[in-house]
Amino acid sequence: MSDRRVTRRDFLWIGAMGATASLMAACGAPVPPTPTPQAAAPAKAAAPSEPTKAPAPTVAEKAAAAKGPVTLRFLLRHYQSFGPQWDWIVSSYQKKNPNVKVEIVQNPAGCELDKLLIMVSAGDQVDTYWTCGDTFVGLATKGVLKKLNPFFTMDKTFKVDDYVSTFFELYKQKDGSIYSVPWLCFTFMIFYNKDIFDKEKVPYPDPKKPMTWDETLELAKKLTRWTGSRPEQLGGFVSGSTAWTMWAAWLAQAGIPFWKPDMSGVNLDNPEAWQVLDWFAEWQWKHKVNPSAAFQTDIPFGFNSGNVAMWIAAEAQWNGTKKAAAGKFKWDIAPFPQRAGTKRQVYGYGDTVVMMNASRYPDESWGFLKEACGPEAYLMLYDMATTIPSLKTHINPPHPTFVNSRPPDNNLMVLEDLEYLMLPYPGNSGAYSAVSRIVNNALNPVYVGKMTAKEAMTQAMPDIQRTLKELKDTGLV
Amino acid sequence: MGLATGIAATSLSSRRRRRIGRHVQGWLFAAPWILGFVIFVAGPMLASAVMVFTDWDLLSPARFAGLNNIRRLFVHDPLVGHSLKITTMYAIVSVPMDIAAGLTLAMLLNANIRGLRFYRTLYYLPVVLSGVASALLWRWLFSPEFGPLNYILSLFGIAGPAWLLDPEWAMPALVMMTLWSVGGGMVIYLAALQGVPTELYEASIVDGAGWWPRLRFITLPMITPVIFFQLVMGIIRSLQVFTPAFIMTQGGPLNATLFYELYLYRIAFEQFRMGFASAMAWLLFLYILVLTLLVFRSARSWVYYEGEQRGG
Repeated sequence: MSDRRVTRRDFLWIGAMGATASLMAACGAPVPPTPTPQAAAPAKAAAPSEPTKAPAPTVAEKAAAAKGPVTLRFLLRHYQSFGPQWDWIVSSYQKKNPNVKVEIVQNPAGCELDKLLIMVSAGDQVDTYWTCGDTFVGLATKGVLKKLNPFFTMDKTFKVDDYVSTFFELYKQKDGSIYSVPWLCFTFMIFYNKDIFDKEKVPYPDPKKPMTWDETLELAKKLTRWTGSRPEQLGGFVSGSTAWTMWAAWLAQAGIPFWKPDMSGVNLDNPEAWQVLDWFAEWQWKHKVNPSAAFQTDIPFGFNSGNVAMWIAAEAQWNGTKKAAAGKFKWDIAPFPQRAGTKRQVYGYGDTVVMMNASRYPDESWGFLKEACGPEAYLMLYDMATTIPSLKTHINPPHPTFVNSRPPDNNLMVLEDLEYLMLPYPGNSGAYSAVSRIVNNALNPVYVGKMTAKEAMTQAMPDIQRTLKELKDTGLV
Repeated sequence: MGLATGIAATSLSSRRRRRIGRHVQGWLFAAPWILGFVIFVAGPMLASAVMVFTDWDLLSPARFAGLNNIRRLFVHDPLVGHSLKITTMYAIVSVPMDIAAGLTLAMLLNANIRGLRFYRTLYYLPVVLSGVASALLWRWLFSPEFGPLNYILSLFGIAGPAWLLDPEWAMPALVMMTLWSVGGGMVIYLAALQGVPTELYEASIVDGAGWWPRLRFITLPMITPVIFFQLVMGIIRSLQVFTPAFIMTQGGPLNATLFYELYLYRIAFEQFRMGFASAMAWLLFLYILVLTLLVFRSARSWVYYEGEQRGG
């Protein structure tokens, strides 16, 4: 053993070399997915339980797959709301595919698109990504996502027809390309607090027949109690800007489509639309049955507080309400209100998982996607009160797991809702979220009675038109 | 003689080696910062300067766009000018208010009162809270129906405004919110106040100076370097304001709080127009640079450095 002393110069030299090496390593090419040490079985033997032939896998993809254990990288939008669900899916998939390890790339809520874009531009790819209708469109248009149509054709174990077709519309482009399979599917409805109805001696809403808009408002007024300038109990709780799509649902039900033909503009420049928006806003500032839209999620008067009689929300909130209401108050659901003289429509939406075009493991990614959107995952989602069935075999007859997942006791009502399902926009549009944000911002003064819908929309219209034009120019529409 | 020359030569070369060695050591010690600056600051800045002349959506290769983005900045996009105006107005009101409030608080807490440490901690606490948490808290405070602010106003028979939902009140609300973090400046002013030599106050008291002349002719001149520092930092910080609008108003209502950085973020990450976003970033950089240089220039006439030799 050498007893040579390390001089200051030696120390600096070693330090400099170390720093240089670290920097060179950091600036190097992205490291390929690390093979999982636990998975010893060769890739071929442990391919997804229903092997598929990916459309034209490249030589590099084949070589990567043949190397052995695979690490699939999955970008999670956020863990807060659906972490346990994804943990279940990952665990289930890994059990069936012991040679595949799914690495969850965590992400703070609301920043997933920023993170994904930067990762894509830096060549640090993920294989799959949990997304929703409005964020995936731009990525699909720009060729970042893989079309699933070839998988649908080649994988004989998968049938598109097994799913409620309307939910596929969320992930479909104008040319017919489909980029995902319905995972989290929901419709909007009325949640109501049975205790408040009992206290006020008001009969519960009929789960079979939707109330009209006016009936809903009258009921909300009846259930509202104010003491001076402070509300003690609110009758209605119409999600506003926090649930950014609600006004579009009211408009659609009034027979006013969001986009003008060929997406040349939005139908918010006419008296019919203004009338609906004003009516919607009057719940807040005029009838005072509903708190200001911008503060509906973080005030002590949310539905889960037990002080709100009715709330317009989606299945995705069942789980949260179930937990919050346990031992506190009883609740159930009723159909989304229907405007008198119009046809019944129920507003639906969803989230899903997509595959990246640059994934080196398309077969495994497809397998993961199928697992997430497959029948077993659906049972787990029913059990966690997270989604409505989108698999036809779970609808007719209703699957016992869904039937028994209560409250709400009227949960089967949503199966009827599926007959009246509508989606927020025709043939996905990347412009929808950008334009709806402008509308939301413009509607805030309308909610407090500071402006009329006409005034607000007239002011917002140039902004909407310019944004729409810019998005068209960038090829995102 | 020869020996002496040899010794002298050896000593010279050894001295030179030591000097070079010291230089090398200095550079090596500074290397982490220099490399960090080049890789994480200068490099991206240079890249963004090049991106100004391209159309790039992060997802497909960049295309040369000539001066299109610069033209768009000044001609085609009215929201650029609007957001810059809004942000400047915010800075004009919030920076002096922040300085005045911080200084007042520091002077109050510079007195010998009971519970001084408690008060200092209390006022500093909001500074260590995350911006997002503060924004969420203030969103609740500003709630028209349930916020404590309007409740307090109602006790005096005043119907509070809709704050963040009202285009006229949204910006004043966000400016008011800046007072929340006044504790950061307070600590710096406090340190400055305690550095003012007490003999100056003693002499002024002997001369019969009251509270106001002492503040005007001793305290303020002696802490002008700190006020200057806070002013420069405040201008930079307020022109880069982002979080409150992003969390609390999303730039609304009707673009009343569309701060420049929020608009830049939307252009970059909602519309994927990195070239235009880079042009916006450079415009803001130049704007801040010019304002900072003007403040530096003005400093000659109002900032007093103890021991500084002035010409004349």
